[in-house]
Amino acid sequence: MSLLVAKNVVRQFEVYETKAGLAGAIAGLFQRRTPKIVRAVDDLSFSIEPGEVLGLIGANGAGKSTIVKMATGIIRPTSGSIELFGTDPFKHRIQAAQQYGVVFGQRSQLWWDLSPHETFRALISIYDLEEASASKQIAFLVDVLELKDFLNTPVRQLSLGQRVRCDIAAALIHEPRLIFLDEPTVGVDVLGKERLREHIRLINQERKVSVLLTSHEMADIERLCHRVIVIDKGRLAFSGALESLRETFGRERQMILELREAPGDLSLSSGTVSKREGNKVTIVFEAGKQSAPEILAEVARQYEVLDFHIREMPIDQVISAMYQRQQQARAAESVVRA
Amino acid sequence: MTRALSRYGVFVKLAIQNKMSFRADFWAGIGEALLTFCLGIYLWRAIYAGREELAGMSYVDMTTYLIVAALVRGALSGSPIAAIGSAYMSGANAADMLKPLSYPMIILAREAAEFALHLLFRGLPVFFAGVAFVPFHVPEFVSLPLFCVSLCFAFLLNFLLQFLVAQLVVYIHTWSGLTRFWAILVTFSTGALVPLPFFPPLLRDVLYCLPFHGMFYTPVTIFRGTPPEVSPLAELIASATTLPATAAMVLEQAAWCGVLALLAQAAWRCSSQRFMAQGG
Repeated sequence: MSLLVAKNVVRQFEVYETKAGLAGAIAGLFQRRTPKIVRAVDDLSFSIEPGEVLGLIGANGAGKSTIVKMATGIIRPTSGSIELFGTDPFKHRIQAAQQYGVVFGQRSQLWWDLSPHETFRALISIYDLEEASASKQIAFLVDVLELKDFLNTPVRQLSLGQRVRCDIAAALIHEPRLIFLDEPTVGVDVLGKERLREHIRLINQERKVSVLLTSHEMADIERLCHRVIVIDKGRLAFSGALESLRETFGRERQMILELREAPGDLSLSSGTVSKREGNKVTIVFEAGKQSAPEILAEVARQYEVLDFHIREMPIDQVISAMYQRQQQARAAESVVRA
Repeated sequence: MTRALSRYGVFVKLAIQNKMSFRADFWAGIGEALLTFCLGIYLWRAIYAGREELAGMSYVDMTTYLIVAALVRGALSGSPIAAIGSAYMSGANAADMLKPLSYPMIILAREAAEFALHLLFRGLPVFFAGVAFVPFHVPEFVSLPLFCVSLCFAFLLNFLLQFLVAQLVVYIHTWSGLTRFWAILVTFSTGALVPLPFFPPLLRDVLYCLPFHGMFYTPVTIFRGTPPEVSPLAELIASATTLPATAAMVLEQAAWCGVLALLAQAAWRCSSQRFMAQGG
């Protein structure tokens, strides 16, 4: 049985736009503004199965956090339905909260002036846990998340990475069946991100805790998720296995080259120049099909290369590429039909 | 029941710990309470200006009233509107909503902690300063326990009324104006600065029919032991139960708490439908 089932979920918000300038602000005192209705989540359906790590990816403002807030029962969907552990999380928020854990990477749920240890003790009372099993779980989390060194340091003195690890531990003390991780690695340095991913993977494997992970970092998704859904402007853009996403849309790479001089014409047999900025050139190519060393050698034959690096396509560009392809496919289909 | 108390008790404990860690806030609170009290004393000294009695209250009755009102004002200086409003606007309320507990009860637990702290560190210091330096009528001993009960109901009334007002934040998306409006409403309609017998009869009758007087006028009057006048509802309770007027006033507070608790529950049900949990 699925832990979470979302069916045709829509969430609208009223956004009041202010008129620009002082005159607009004064006029706003007397005129009732008409709200603009924004669909943060638009007809979204998905489910989470026991033991799986589901990646929910999308650019900033795509609707990821709104989905987490609806799934946890904090806010209500405008239409559609969400079932968490078989019940409506909005109607039965208190019962549902006993069975899930949540970490918002950008917003700590720890008490600023308390140490993680004191926080964990407080959570034992809040979740009404049995002392012996809770202490065992805390010991497990302290070990897995490597919290021992700062267990008695006030939260306000912890680094971001340490704080997020404590947040994850706090979300797992009551041994939830499902944990929502909303951008847990945001702002954390590269090494810290790697460690966090490893911790999350361990918890999923050892405790069989299902995870809904939202992120706009491909690396988070690649390291952790069995399955992904991609949303763009609240709508479902892709749902399936990670391999399938990578194969279909995520194979493009960017090669950023710094040349001795600003290049004129650059003739390439593979790859496409996507950006020129002074003596910097960005070439987009498809990993696996097009060879990075060949592209580099081809550029080096024409201009002197001072430096270069290769990076994955940012997720928002992957999504936009995905949308472009889907739109092209739809357009082609309608031409064939006509 | 004990388990529920322990679950919410954590929030009381944490709120106390949090408040105690801000020393400047602590001293500023005492300073504010003292200055407000002095303002009231100088104002009424000028109004009495040598007169023996006004609206059935002697000058000593009035200073006693102001000293006890300062105690109550200090104890009730928490602001649930600000707490709920700022948490809503910043999205910090999401952390409370993710706990397996009732959100209004979490706020109540935090406010109960503030009430206890403010009583100890704002209300009582000003009260003792007033007793030491301003004419004070020692009350009958018997009114003290009833006063304590009435003070607790005053806290509940203050909380419930502010909780109701705070639900407007979900609709108007701001809270600072609401707190300022609330502050003046309390000063005007609860008898915090001007005892209700001083108001014109029509306005006084209206104020007696509202719950606000239960926050200040009722506990202060109970402390003094002999109410010069009571509200129609308290009079009705007293005549129906043959209880003394002061006990009837406490029952009136309890009745208002019951009504407001139902209203607060309904208001929360409505506002939670529009709840947003701002921010990513």
